[in-house]
Amino acid sequence: MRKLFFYFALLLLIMGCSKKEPLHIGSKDFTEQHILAEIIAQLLEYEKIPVKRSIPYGDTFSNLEAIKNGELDLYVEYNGTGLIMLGQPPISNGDKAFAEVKKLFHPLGLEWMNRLGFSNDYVLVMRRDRALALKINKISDLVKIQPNLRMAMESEFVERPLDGLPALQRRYGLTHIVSSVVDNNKAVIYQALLDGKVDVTEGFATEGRIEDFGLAVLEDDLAFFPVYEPSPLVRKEALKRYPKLRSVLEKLADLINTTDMRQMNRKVELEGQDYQRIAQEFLIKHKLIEKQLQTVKSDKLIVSAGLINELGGSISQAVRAIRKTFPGRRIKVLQTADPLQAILDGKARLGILSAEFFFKMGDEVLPKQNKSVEAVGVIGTRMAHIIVRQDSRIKRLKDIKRLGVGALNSASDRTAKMVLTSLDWRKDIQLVNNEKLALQLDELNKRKLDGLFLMVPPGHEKLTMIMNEGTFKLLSLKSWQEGNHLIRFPFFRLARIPANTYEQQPELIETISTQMVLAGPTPVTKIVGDRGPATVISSTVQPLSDPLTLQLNKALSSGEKLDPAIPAAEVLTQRTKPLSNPINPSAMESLFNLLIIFMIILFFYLFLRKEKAV
Amino acid sequence: MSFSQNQGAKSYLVFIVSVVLCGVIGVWGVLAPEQMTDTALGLTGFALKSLDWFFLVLCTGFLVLSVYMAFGPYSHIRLGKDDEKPEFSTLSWLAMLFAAGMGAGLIFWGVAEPVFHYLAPPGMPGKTPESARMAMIITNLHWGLHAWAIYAICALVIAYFSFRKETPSLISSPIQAEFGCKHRGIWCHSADIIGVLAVIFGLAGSMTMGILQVRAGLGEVFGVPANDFVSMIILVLMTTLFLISASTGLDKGIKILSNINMTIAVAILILIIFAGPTRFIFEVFITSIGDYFSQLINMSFKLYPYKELTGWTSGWTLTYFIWWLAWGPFVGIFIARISRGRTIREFAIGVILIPTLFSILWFAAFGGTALYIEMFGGGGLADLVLEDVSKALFALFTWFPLSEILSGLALILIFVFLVTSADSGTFVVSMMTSNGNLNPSTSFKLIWGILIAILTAGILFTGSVTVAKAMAITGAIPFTFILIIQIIAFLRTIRRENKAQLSQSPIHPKG
Repeated sequence: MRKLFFYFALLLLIMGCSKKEPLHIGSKDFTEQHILAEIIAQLLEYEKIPVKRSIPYGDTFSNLEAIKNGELDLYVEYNGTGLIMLGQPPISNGDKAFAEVKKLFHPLGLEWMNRLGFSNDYVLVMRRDRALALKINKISDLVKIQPNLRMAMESEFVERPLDGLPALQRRYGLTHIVSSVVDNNKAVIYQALLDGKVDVTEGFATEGRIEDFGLAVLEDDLAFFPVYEPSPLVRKEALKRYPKLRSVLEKLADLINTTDMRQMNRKVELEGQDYQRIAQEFLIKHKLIEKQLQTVKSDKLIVSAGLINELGGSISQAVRAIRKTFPGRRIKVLQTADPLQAILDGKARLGILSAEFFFKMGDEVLPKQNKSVEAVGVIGTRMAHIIVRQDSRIKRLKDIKRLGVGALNSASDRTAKMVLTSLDWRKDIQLVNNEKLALQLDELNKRKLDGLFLMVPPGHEKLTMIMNEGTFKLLSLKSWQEGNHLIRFPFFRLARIPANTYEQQPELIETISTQMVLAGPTPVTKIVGDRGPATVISSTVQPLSDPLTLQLNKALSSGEKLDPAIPAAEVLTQRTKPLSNPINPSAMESLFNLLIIFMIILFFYLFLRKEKAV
Repeated sequence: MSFSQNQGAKSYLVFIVSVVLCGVIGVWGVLAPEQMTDTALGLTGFALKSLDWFFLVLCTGFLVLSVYMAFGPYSHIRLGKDDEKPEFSTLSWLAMLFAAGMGAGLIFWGVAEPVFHYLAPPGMPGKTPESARMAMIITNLHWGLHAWAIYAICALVIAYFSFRKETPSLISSPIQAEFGCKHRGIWCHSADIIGVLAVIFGLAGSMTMGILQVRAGLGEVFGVPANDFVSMIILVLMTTLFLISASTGLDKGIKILSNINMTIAVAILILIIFAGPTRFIFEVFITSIGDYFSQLINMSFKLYPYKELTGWTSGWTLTYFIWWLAWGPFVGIFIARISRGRTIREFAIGVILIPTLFSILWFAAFGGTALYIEMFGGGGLADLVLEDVSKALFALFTWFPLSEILSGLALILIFVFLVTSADSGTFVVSMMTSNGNLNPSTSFKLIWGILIAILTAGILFTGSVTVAKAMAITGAIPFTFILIIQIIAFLRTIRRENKAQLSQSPIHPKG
């Protein structure tokens, strides 16, 4: 025993003091910073320099404070920010700004290493189609938009004195800019741009959304916006402690361009990939490290989504909400033909489903509810799009002989089956499955298919692209309003795709819609709980707990409530008290209780009865 | 009171009927797992739901009774002859009873349970300092005095009759001794058989779950695949070890294993305390003691009828209590067996108070560290806990230096806990089926050991955790009623003994 304690003390001692302090790397708390810090950390580790990560460490101020007092050894800072932190106006010439901060930070014992390559400046972006149509590719060209130039921006941009809206208007003479949408939520700003409510929005050069939505970045032809070029900011003392450090960091100089950074941001922010993985991939691509094993233990939370879900749209909305609810968890999106099956198989803990996934079509008239999953929050809406060739004579769904419906058991496939069964056309129309949308389009073009049936949100990016080619048109689904379909399938709601949602769509389209929701497995309630001292590690996917469900629902909240036809998590459904509650809920229970009372009396009698004479 | 007549026949009767029933229920469970679990868990569930008040008050009653025993008029009575010395040293005794009583669950729930209640406490908002406090109270309620009081009462009754009244160490002995020959025969045999079945199924179910725990742990730490083959290897290894241990007798096998166990547990505990947030852990420890004892009466009777949270009580508190009751016959008889020669007060303090204080410290260390990470650190543990209790433990270790070694130690600990439980369980069943022989023959132990291993293998092949659970806890409810009758018999006998003693000597003799 005593020996053991001795070893223990020794162990603690060894852990307490090692020869050299590891290099402490910090970062600010946003995706780009996480990725950059991780790139540096992994590179240093590969070069045998021990590191300690604090990703994220805090905001700009706390990072700077920590590196000044020696708590941190390194973090990535932008030269524009560096100037502002020292009370200097930011400048738009990168080389000058870099020389300036290098000089200014020198007395603080901090050194700016060579710049990483890109610059995360303010940029103005436009929808590519509109920019092309108006032939706008630099900010000066914006005068072409008359009479008013509608712009969306964050409130900070309105107020910034040197590089904000007023200064921009003065420099470029764009006095006709109207700030139509001012919101601190980036999603709202970009949505306004995509919806065409505004012409231009303000953004950052490395934002993943620019890539994701295929937006056009306008050239800052007058070099108005100050530069924000990142470099590793290092303590001089750390450079002495690890003489190799300087040469290792030099390897990163000018290595990351704006597109690279934008793509990495996009992968993490919008696709929900893991920043450590992304950092590693980058280093491997540039041959700075060799493939090494992931050492991170923490589990990924897997979210299943359909194959034609948009990474930028519904998926990123779901991923954002999940990230808010599960801070610190790595999230992975699993795109699969049948996202429901992924949940049932335990491959995914959550999934992006629409109403039709919650029901099964049997031989009965009414669809049967699938009790194994439940909805936790609303993501959006999917609408049925029936696409045929522009030149075909098909006027109604009924005239179609071969209908492409995407992957087997996908949203489109499930909906098409239900719709055709209800309309009693199941036998006349042959459904064709294929996981690749492009292949089905090809077949449609080659007349191997007569039509395509797609359940996608209106304005779906790929669909917009397809429709804009001008070779296809949409059909209305008028027959659904007749007969009892609405009662048999209450979760298919009537909907209209307004005219001109797509090019070549002059009139409105009558169709049906289903709610798109985030769903998880239904918890199985048992009286004898799953707790208890002998709980087993279960391999099955655990359902969400009530507090998490509520949190997730709130994080998703788009203002829309769950469709009452969709089975929702119990905490989300309002329970109503029955009007006439029987005074005795269970006669069996009462009988049991009576029995126990008798037994208790018997026990007392046994205990209290007089001793028999021995 | 003579037990010599019919001894051989009786012991075989209990043995044979038990084996046959074991086979029948075992085959049922393996062939029709769904049906068997539905029936078994349905019954237990219904009883827990409709009689929740009774079970809660019963367990609290055990606690009250053990306090009365420890400090009441019978506290000086020795479990053995008046001049007998304890068979095991106090440290070994504590180690053995702790290893038998709590086992592997403590390791997993140490992290998970406080965090779980911190997130979702009954009837109040989670993630608040108040809910953290409540979490520690609830956790200690489930693992503290009540649990050990259940064991203590089960053990006390048997120990008193076996060592003081020198009846065989059987479930039926107290009943037989007090309620006389009239009830003898079918009733007493039934009680014994129910006892044996409760122990065997409790043990087989727990072993199955334990093997799955070890397997999942291996997967989590070393990436070992989770399949039947790995389960079988663990089972074979475990069976070999516990059979070796069982054949060496109580003072070698189990004692050595328990001591190893306690050493590893204490080593991990020390590392967590001193490499973790030390001051915070001790603050939590002291605060929990105060909170727990001051809230004890309140919590011991709390069923939340106004908040529609009775489901919470049966899902947590009562589920815990039913598990302790299910393990009662086997842990009870085992604790009785190793407590020979101690006075009732010594026994009660050793079996109830000391383990409770240790578990409060354990939860303060593991749960406290987890709460520290959640409340003052980066977080990220909480949602793992909700997803999988065991992952939380290994995830917590990653915050510590040498996390691989810690995880490895934890796995060894779980494994040794299992071997110890299996060993003591086999010992107890052999005792029960060889007419209460305090040192049952090795062949009996081997037969039962192999039978339990076969049953475990069967449950493992059904691949259903629910079957294991159903088997483990179904015996609890019938056993509860036998236990009550035992207690009545015990109280009547001890009352008579004390009266006789008092009338003999006017001065109250103190132990």
